[in-house]
Amino acid sequence: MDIFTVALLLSTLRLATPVALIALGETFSERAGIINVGVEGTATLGALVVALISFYTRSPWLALFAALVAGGLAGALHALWCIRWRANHVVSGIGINILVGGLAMFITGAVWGWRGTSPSAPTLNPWIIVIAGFVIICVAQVYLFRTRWGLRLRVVGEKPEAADTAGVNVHLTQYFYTILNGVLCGLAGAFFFNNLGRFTFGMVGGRGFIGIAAMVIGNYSPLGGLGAALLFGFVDALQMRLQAHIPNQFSIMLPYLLTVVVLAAFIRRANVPAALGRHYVKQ
Amino acid sequence: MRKLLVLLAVMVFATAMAVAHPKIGLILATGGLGDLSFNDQGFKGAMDAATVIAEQYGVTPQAVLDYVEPTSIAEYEGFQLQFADSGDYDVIICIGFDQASALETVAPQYPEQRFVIVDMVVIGDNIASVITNDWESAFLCGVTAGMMTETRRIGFLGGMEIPLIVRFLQGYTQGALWANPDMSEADVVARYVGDWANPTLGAELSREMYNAGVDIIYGAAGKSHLGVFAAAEENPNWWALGTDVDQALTAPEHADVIIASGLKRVDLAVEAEILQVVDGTWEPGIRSYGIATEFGFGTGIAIGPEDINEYVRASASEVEVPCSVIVKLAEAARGIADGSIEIIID
Repeated sequence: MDIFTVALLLSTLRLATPVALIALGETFSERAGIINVGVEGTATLGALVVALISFYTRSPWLALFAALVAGGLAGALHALWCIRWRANHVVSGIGINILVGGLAMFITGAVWGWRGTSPSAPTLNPWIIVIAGFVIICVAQVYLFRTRWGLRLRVVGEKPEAADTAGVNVHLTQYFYTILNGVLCGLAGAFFFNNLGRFTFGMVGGRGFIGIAAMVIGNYSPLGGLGAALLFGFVDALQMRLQAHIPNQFSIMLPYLLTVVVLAAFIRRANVPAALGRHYVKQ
Repeated sequence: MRKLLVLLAVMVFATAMAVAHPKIGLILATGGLGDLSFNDQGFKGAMDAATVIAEQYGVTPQAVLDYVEPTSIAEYEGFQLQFADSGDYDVIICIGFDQASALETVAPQYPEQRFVIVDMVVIGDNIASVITNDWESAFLCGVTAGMMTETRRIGFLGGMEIPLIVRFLQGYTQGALWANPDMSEADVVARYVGDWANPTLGAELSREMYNAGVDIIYGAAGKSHLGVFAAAEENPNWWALGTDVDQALTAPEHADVIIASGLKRVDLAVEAEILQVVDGTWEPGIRSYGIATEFGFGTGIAIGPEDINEYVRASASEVEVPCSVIVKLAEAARGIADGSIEIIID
């Protein structure tokens, strides 16, 4: 079949990368016990900031760095709410999504006069982020399961009391990995921008939430999340080609349908961290 | 007592003089001014009409036209009520389809107030609905694509497969086949994003079409359409067509790949509506604007460096277009106007 081409492979990688990065970030924070459904908004914020900085400084590298910082700040905000002020994790995450939505409209309107869209700005080759993403995910896999810091992280999410007794600073660990989650979402946002050359509100298009699903399907492991993201990316790339053969109303649905079906199959087998969503209070 | 009466009479007279000129209320869509598209066009049309009125009555256009820029859909109803309740306006123009549900609530409460809604149909005794024959612009884009394609395969990117968008595709296909008899319907490839604001997917679908041998892509997919331009930049043999406004102007960094853009002349339609109100010929109902309508304007194409006629307008595109294409477009527009070309739509 002429459908299975190199172009399909490249398309799959482009579509999978942001999902895989967000899945990795969420893996880190949920392994530390912090749910963050604000990843969608955090990635949008990353894409907005990278566009803003790239537009003004004409330096895509500086813009990339700024996106990571912005993502980290959004992560820090979430961490403050969830850890310091013991807010419901999901509510805080939804708050971030709504906040970024308003912010994106306001900033694009105030800066460029178009609500929700930026003009073009200098970009990096998006493949740099694709390759970097794959390297980061492989390193993370080793880090999480083969190093003592990875072990400490896992213990914090499973049994924070035990980690505390063993001398691990539970809250510091949670802050660190929630911020890291934000940084990775910022990187995913930067990919969206560099892939297109401009910011538009809606360009993340639900890929943050798909990233959370990919993390669950991948059973809270970096490589598993990557696998699930690749599957999603592949089906999304495939459906574009299938539109020539089957009604588009059905093909557009395929990647999402697949996500729901696979998620339903895997969610019972997932090793959900035992202390996920709990507020740890030191006795 | 008499002095008081005279004073009163003078005041009444002065007030009457002050409100004697018609006033227009304009409620823009949430995109706001500066969008180089719908809102700016609607504003230009209202301003042009206001200028005409202002000259007649010896006032400034600013005195004739009041406008507001709502920032969210939730604000439409408030502004519509505020404008209608003041009773100051001869007509209230609502730009954008998403004002429809607010207007359905507000308009019946003010039966004496005239409303115009652009790009959507709302039925009411005091409402005129302005729509455009988008398929005519799509036909002209199809003519351009049919003549300029070197692979004899052209693409179309739709937001969703809904009647409005299917009509774009029908016009586009018929235009291409009319201009290039070597092409068949199978040479027009259509893909749908399923989303109006996701250029990431728009770009991915465009790459897919380009890789499958298409060399020009037109579309009607809202912001997702921006993805076509980004994808077209990746290969010197890939080209794009814009939609509704001259997108070589609104996305100048892509002026090197945008050959032409279909036009939706909201400005002309809005101006015409206001002037009908002023001269007393305005009636409620559904009014179509386009080449093959009673008005004879409302659609067209932006291509080449200069205005050729009412339909073939200048573009900021940097792409060289052969004269034969321009000539053919003028011929197509003439054909649509005199009925010798009939575009068949569902």
